[in-house]
Amino acid sequence: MPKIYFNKDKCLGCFSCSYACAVEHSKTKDPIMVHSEEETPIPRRAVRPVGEASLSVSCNHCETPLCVEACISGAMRKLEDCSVICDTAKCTGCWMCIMVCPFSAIKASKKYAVKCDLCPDRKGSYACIESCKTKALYSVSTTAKTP
Amino acid sequence: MEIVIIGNHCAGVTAAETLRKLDKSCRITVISREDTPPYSRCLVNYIISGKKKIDDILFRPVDFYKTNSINTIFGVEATNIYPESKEILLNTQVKIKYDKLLVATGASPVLSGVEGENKDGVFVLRTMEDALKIRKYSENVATAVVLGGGLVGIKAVTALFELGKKVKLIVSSSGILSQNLDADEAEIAENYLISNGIDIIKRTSVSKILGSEKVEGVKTSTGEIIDCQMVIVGKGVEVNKSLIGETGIEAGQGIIVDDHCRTSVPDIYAAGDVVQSADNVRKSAWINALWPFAAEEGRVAAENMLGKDSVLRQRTSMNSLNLLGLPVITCGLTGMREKITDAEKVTIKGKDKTTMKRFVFKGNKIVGFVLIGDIRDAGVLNTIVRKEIDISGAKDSILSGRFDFASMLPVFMDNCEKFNDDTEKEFKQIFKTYKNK
Repeated sequence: MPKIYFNKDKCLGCFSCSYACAVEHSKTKDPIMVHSEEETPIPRRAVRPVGEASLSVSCNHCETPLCVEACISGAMRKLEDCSVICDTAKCTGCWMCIMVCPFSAIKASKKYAVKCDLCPDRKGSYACIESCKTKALYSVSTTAKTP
Repeated sequence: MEIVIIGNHCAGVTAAETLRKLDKSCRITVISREDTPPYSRCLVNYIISGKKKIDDILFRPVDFYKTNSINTIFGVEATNIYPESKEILLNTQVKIKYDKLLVATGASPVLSGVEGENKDGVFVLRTMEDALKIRKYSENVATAVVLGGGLVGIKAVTALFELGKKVKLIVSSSGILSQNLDADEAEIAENYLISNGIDIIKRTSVSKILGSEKVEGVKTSTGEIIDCQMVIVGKGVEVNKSLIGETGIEAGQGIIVDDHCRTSVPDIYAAGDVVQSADNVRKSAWINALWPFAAEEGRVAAENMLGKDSVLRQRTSMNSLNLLGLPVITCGLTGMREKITDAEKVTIKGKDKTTMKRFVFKGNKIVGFVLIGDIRDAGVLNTIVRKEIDISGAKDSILSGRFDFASMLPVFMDNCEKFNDDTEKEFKQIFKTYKNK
């Protein structure tokens, strides 16, 4: 799967990536209409200060994911393409994944855990990368399969 | 190579899966007294309430063993291990040879020894079979009494409540979840359950279960008689280590394993609820019976069996539960009876009566925390606690509620020597990005 990388020297801390992520995971997927949705969509990507720089952080799709080991329902899985995906239909909202993720990458929605799902509706492109005007966020294909 | 795994739950299944992922040719045999597909014991409460069916609580596909070419011997019990001849004996008198053995036999619920416990309508709750029996029996139950304010008791009481039964939770401690919460936190959780319609009776035990052949009521230690038609006993478990007998496998309360999941006998590993492992905050062995630890132990045992030198991460006790919608996460030394010298406890109340945070500091380290209601960034705190990260300089940020990953990144980088785990490569990548500011 194409992994998402971050170059802190190009990041302006503009929040476009976080906003785009929320819009992508909303009902209307419209950056204006999103504000009148009943349930505010949850961004899976956060922009935070680190010293004088900014950090855009989301799920790292870790090589040995703590969340996958913590998941009591088998909802959180590492797939063949190395991505870590939560099957929200299987998720029971036990929040064990949130308890173990060191990157604050997983959030609790009303019923299930949400985290970066690599934008399944965009078929190959990621909302955060597409929204980044400075290319601080970029992707590189990994050819390695799950070991 | 012939690898035998005793136990087909979290630890056993994760071990088998890891073995097959790393080695396509080794022979893997999983033995279990339960003849079941890979189901999650943590979800059997949903079987009671009817919210989920068996298919919904499988954590691996129903054909997991077949697709991974794993042999299974189910419905049998392993009774003895013979390390000299590298064999195990089943209760069917069959002997199975092994090159490497994983003991993942878990633990079993204990009854409390109360008079009348042998009546129809008294149940424990751990397996799918227990849950199905409880669900079937509850057809003729109006009121159920649950003994024990720990995790099993809480799960049982909420499941029966969701099934529409009148439920009473009888707790001998002064508060529920006393191993995880202090008195104030227990009160928050209790009030929340009570406001939903669950009765909780504290500082009380059951002295007798009443009825002729079937449960008809209980008599409590305070002399009260409670009419009920079902009793669920959630009074703890005992590890299933009788099979280690005279093998020389060292055990305390649980089977002792090192950080490679090795027991004291070569080629024998152990994983899951049956083990006791090093608790990095308590600095002693502890039975940390939790799904994430069982899965990690299964993986590490399997990797070591195949010659990979992997180790368990630093760990301490932790737990996460969803109490009828109220999230509660605990980690480290937070229980009611926890005795910590020179500890500083700071409680921060939230905007409403079900939101709060508690930190237990010892010097410049956090040795425990509790989050109720707002559980954001729990994993970052967890990392700080289990790795004993020095948080001087970040304490104000933590106490003001800013302990997300980015806010703690400078503190992590200051302690970067503690992030040397092979399984945590992602930290190194991020540290590299921020090292030259």
